[in-house]
Amino acid sequence: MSPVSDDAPDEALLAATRTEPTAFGAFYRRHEDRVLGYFLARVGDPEVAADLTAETFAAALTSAHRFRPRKKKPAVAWLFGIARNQLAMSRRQGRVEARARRRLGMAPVVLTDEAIERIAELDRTALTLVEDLPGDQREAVRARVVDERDYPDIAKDLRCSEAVVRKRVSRGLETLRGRMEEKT
Amino acid sequence: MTRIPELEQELVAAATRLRSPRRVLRPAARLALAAAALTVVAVLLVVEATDRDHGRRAGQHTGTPPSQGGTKVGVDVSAGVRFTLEGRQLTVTLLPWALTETRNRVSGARIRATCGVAYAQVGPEGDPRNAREERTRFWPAGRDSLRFRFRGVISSSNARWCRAEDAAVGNVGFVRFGTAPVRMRSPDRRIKQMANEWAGLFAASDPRACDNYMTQPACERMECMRPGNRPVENCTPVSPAFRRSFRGARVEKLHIDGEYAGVAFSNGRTAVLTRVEDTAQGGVWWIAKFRGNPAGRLLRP
Repeated sequence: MSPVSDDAPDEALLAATRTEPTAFGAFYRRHEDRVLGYFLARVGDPEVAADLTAETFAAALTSAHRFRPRKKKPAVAWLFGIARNQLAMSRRQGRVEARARRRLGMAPVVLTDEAIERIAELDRTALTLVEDLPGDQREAVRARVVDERDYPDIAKDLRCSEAVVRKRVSRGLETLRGRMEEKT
Repeated sequence: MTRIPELEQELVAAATRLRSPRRVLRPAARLALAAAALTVVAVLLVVEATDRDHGRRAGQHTGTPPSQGGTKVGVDVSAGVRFTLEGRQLTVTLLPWALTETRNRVSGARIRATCGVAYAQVGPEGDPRNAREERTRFWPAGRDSLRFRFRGVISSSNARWCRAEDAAVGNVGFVRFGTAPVRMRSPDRRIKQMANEWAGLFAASDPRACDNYMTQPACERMECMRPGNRPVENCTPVSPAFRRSFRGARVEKLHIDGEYAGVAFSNGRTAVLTRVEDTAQGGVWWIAKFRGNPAGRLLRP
């Protein structure tokens, strides 16, 4: 069987994980920044974000063989589903779960100062990009994503309808996504 | 380069381990395989004993040429390591249920195999009953077995024990040949044993309670501290009285539900254990929750 290329689609990388362990390495490299960024924006601590990222990828690895590609649910959505669950569980329990890593016999990752700095940089990049958004989008994204406020609350503050806020947030995130991809 | 290259390495190593037959097998199949392996060991031990009797009757004595010495097989059940000594050739094999710790320990390490005749020094130096021999070889990563060839006095005709070890981190496996194979343990017995041992160490504030018997999150909730002196939110450290209440406590009730087991101790407290590894001896179970009444739901009839 020929080794799967690093450029292969996510679904192919996950399918090849059982026979080609490096395929999961490629999957990790592709999504590391997004997952780390997702956690960092929510917990604000690079070490906790790294812990949550490690557990998310470990859980993804243990269930990679169960992943069935579907048109409406690409692999990245499946991965973020796991990430959301990990975050919710950690908030509920007041700690980061280590079950998947334990099951896999993974050694705890000890972060060096350089690694912490590299992770923190991710947050700064994202915040800089938020600041560069057009005024209305910046306010909406900051209120919704950074401060995690409800739409009705933001709408009241910005003196517009909820639908307008949703549209601004959506457009702002779309712009951010594009700029993040340009940077990477 | 990724932001956490160590994590990528750990994940790829874990994926490699998942690929091994041990992980692909389901727990039931693993147990069946373990039972089959132990049956083979028992049969081989009987064959070996028969061969020895036959040899004795034919006037053979120790020092028989190794090629005629038959085969000795022993299994270190807890480590999941089999030793097969055929003449002067020793094969050390990791069995499907070998602990991850054992696999990690041998993989890519220099492993020393030693076989000997006496369990302890007998007679003066140079007495043939004290004979022992060792060989060291590099164990390639991902391999399940490795052969060592003795060149001196040791062979299957006289060896009574063998050991494999990593010079840096210690024992990998040890067997005594000719002893009855260790019986497989049920998870019930194993869980009770681990929970009882934990209770004693926990009551005495012995750090081994955490190191050897508890999951990392459970450990963190004892002192409400995460590594790096980061406090655990909404957590109160356990009181000395709570610890003391476990002194002499024994498991009185147990219920297993898949990967989890609930136990009720004689002091009225309960705990939840989680299976972190499958072994022929009923698995390795660690305390995952021990505050409040965590096993109440599991133990409810």
